[in-house]
Amino acid sequence: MTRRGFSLPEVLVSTFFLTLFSVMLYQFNRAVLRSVRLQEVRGEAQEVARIAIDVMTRELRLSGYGGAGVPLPRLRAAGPERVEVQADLNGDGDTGDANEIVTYAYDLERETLMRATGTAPPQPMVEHVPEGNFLLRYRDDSNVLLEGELDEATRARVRQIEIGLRVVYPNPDPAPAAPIVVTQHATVELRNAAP
Amino acid sequence: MSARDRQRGSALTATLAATAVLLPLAAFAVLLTRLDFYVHDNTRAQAEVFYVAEAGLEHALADIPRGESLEQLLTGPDGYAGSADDGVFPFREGSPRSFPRAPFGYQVRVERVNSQLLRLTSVGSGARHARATVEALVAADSAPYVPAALYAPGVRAIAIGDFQISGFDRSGTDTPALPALGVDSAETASALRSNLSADASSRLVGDGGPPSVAKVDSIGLLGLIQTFGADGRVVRIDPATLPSPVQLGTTDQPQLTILVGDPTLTGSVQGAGVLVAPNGLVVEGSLAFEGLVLVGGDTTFGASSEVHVDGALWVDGVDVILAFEGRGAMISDRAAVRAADLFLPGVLPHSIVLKAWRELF
Repeated sequence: MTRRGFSLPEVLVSTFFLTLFSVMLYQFNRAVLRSVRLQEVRGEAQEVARIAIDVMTRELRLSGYGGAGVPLPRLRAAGPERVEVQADLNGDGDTGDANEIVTYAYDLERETLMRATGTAPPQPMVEHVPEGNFLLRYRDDSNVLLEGELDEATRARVRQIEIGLRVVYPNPDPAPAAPIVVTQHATVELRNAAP
Repeated sequence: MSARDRQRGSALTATLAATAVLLPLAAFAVLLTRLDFYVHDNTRAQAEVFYVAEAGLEHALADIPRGESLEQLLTGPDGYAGSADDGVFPFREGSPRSFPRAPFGYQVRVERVNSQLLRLTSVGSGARHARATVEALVAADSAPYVPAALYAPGVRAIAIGDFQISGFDRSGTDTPALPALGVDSAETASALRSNLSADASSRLVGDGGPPSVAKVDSIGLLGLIQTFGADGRVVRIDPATLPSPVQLGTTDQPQLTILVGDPTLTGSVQGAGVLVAPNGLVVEGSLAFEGLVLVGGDTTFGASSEVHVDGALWVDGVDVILAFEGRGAMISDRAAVRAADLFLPGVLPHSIVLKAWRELF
């Protein structure tokens, strides 16, 4: 007699291995997808922090630019979590035009680094910045650290600004996992001399 | 049925299944890595060309001779206005083909913003067509350019008796010291230093001394003498007819004085402002002057003379001989030269200084 089909043990064993394989595949895919998501979030965090530092560096560096040939006070305000710079970009002798006054300030309530231009309301620039993770430090020509909120005379002495920014993104993995932390540092030499 | 025919394996199926799962993952990993490389390369290229552009601008700023006029900068490397190269920055040794190596390089151009302001634009270029642009606004310094306490570009010999020449500014220690003696070439400076006696060396104090002798950026003294001579406020005096003592201007009322005829001062002369001696100068009496003394030829302070100049002494001519055999001092005083410049604006050379810097983006 010709045997047709599979015996019960065969079916059971094959079902067992098929289930095992499916579980492994699921776990594998899950891990891969988590990794992909993690990479995406980490990439986003790095990109956001890097762009923020890049833009800040450039805008701080041209502070005090006087397009009419008259140097301006570079810093209108300077503190550990807030800096306001100015430049006369179009050389009309004032700083009332677009992007001529730029403010970076930390918003504790929103845990966000805000950027404002002119008198416009501040806009979020970098989110996910917990307290104490955006820090500005100022140094003079002699590399002396200038601490606290700087008054006008002290602001005129500033030669170098150090920026520290740490972005802490929540981990996309639903299981408890360490947050994604990206840290960026930059040191800006102010190119324009104080008046 | 052979053994081969009886095989019922599923290797091909399993391999294809595994490949189907792993291939997208591998492709994704490659894509991410490639993207990271692109981002990294572009970020690096942008940073590199920014620093190349900065190097170009710094090169240009450092290459502007002190005392150069704004107009001269605009005429390009050939120095002639109206030619095709106007607006190209006139680097003294030509614009480098690449910096620091190919494919990096910079190009610097100059354009006028207004009558008192020029714009220097440096464009840095590099790999992957990256470009960065930085610009500087430059203008004439408010203070005149003073190359040295005693500037004598064509000096052949100098003799110093009981006389001192100081590049340390009289007005204060905050002002950087100048060379006591400024000449037009390093070789001349070296030759003069080696020929000075120990006593003479000790009397030339200032930047880099003693003996403080250095090559400095040149000034067109002959043109200055001619310009002063054509000025409507000039007072021409023949030393032979001078009474003694005589006052040739004061610090409150400076005077532009030109000595004509025999340039020998025998009496007592005091003054302030600008004193021009186009035919050389000989002092046998006493001279006390505050401001700029401009001499066109050999300069002799006789053994019985007493000379005090606070400001600057500039001596024009080729192979001139300086004989300071009497007593006295020539002390750098930039405030006194500045007062002379304010009295006769637009004549003395001014250095070009940086007023503003920015990156274009």
